[in-house]
Amino acid sequence: MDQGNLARSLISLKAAGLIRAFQFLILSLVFLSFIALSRAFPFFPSPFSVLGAAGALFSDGEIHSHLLVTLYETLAGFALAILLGIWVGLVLGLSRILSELFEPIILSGYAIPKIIFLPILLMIFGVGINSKIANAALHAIFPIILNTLVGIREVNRVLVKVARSMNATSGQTFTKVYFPSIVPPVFAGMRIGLGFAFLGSLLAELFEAQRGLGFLVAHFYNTAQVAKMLAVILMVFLLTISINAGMKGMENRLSRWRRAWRS
Amino acid sequence: MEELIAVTKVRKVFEDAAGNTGGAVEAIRRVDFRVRAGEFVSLLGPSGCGKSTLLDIIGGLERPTSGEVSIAGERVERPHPKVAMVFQLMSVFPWRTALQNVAFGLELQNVDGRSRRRKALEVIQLVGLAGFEEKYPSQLSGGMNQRLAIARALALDPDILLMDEPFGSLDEQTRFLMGLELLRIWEETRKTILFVTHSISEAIQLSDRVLVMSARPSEIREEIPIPIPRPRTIESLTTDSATRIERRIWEILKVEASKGLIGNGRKS
Repeated sequence: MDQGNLARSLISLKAAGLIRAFQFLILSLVFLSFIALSRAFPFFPSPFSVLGAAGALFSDGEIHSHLLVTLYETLAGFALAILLGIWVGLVLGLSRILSELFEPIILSGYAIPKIIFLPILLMIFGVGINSKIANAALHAIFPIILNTLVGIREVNRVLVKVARSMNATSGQTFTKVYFPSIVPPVFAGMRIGLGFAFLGSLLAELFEAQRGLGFLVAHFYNTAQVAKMLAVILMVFLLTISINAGMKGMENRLSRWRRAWRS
Repeated sequence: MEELIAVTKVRKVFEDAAGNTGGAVEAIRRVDFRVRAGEFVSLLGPSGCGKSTLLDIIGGLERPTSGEVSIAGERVERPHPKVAMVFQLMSVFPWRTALQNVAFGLELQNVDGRSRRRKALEVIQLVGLAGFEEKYPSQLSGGMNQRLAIARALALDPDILLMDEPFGSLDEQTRFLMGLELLRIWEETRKTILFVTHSISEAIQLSDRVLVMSARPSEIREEIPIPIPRPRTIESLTTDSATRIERRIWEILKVEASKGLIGNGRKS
């Protein structure tokens, strides 16, 4: 038993090492192709000038307000999507009639490129921050609804029966059986949703805005400041990766019982 | 002895989803039996014969179409507080530790944390899971998880345990050992146990009486007393008289199980 565990952890260590090495290789390739691009096309800056531009953007404080605006829009939209999405998912998941009526609509909502509705959002919420929040929420809500819905539907019926056989109230059945059962799928949906919320706010900013990282990318593009544009893109990239990692950490803490299963 | 469970003329018809009687399935035609306090009785039948449905009706989770069930003279309308149920494998809550699983029912009754813990520890000890209190079900074997499910039921101090093929998905050896464990717990606690199974040897190993059920729509085909002395051992379970009982049950079930094979649309 102990030996088996040791062997398994050695294998997983080795696997983890290989994966790290592979990731490093990919990153170096990206870096090298960046250099190659900058040699091939005169307008394409070298990685060093991109890093320099990023440093400049931070040191003169130009980027701070834009960063905050985008973060605010994204997180506000995400929060709205969580509140509405979980609520809708629960209602649909618990009612067979409602889910038969609305599930096709939700599924097509998931598939439609939601940016097509941006003009409508601009008309309703104006060109300011609110339309960006709405667009972020619109992008983020569908995976949250769907995962909640599926999570509710896949709750182990036997566990519900256990609670009923002990005369649990419907409130207790919800908090002690349904809720813990759906935490993992809902969290997975939220993680996907957060990425989409970012997409939503950035797309809206690219289209029509005066502030935000998306606006900044468009602005640097239009004024041919390519190094700065790439610096902002790099920042968005790093930002999403770190937020995603944070979500993953929270998810792991909330479902300790599943980690126990993996070990 | 006192009659603790009385099942009288119970019939159950499932209507189809739209409520049409055309698609209705008669799961239980007519079942009558009594269980005395302290008895260990098994319901044995081919799969899909409605024995789990019958157990759900006795547990107050389903209503019979007609007939009635009473527990200690009280008509069952909803789950009776003196009855606890144990279901098939993996009925434990995967996100709760062993201790939290056992305390589940006490939590529902808003018992305070300290007495909850005391009671849960006591029951965990009883089912032989001491030392595993903080483990999650995924870290325990199938047999241990089933002990956990039994402990969770026992924590409520029921007079009656209704068990629905609790060892159904365990391998034969583990199943036999779990049977011995269950008998030990039964003898220590003097509960009344109604046990659903499709395993003839399990029914013989455990029960005072075996109620052999027909294929769907089910009735009780025959009541077989098991006069094998207790405590039951490998030796006493393999004597000629034990083998004769087994052969007799087989002969009844052979007919019923093949009926079940032909018309087995709905798993109960």
